[in-house]
Amino acid sequence: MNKCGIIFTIDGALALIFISTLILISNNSNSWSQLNEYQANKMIGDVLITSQILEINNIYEIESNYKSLFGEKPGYIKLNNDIKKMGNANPLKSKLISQRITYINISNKEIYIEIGVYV
Amino acid sequence: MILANQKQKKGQVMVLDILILFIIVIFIISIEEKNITNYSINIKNKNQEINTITQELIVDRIISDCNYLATSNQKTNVCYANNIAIKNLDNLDNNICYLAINSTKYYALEKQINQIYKRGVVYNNRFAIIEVGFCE
Repeated sequence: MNKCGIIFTIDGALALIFISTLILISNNSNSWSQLNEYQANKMIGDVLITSQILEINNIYEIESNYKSLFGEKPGYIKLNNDIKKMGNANPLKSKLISQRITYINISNKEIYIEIGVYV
Repeated sequence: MILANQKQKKGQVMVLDILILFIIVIFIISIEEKNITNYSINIKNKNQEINTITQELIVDRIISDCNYLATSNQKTNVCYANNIAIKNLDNLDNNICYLAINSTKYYALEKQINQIYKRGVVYNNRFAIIEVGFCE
């Protein structure tokens, strides 16, 4: 009876070790990709806020600013009804991060800018 | 004869049982070892990640706080983020050893730069890239 108890204890301990192993495996973090998303968000904000400060209404100028920050990273720029796509992204492999801004410029015209980046 | 056979079978079962237990224990130990190694790598990455976020926040402060490089409207006294001027460079964090705008160096210490952060700002009424470098 005592021997049976010992075997059950060993069995229980092994089961616990196995479960904890599974939990540890499932707890693998993906925080590096979140950090990339955070950095992309910051830089998109930079392009938007500087476009508002400088009242840029030329999509090519925004594209040039985008490229100086993101290089050849795929994404898109929307300025009112115009849209410009940069590079080819695989939507299945990369995540789209986007931000938009609407403001009224000095000529009382509403400007809408949206920038998306695939990270 | 029958008793000896039964004893032999019992012995075989016990040996088999111990062998299986031994294999399972080795299997679990190898998985655990792998996990512990991964865990230590994760902790290292997490520390590096915290360091990166801290530095990102410092750069964010530099370009959005008027005590650093951000400029304010003289009439309204409102501080504007991302609209910068070269000022208060002495206030910069001790870990910062490099600061350049559009590749023009404004602050550079003779230390090895570990990480450079790029941000978009307005400088002299134009879009510019500010680069802030950190040393350990």
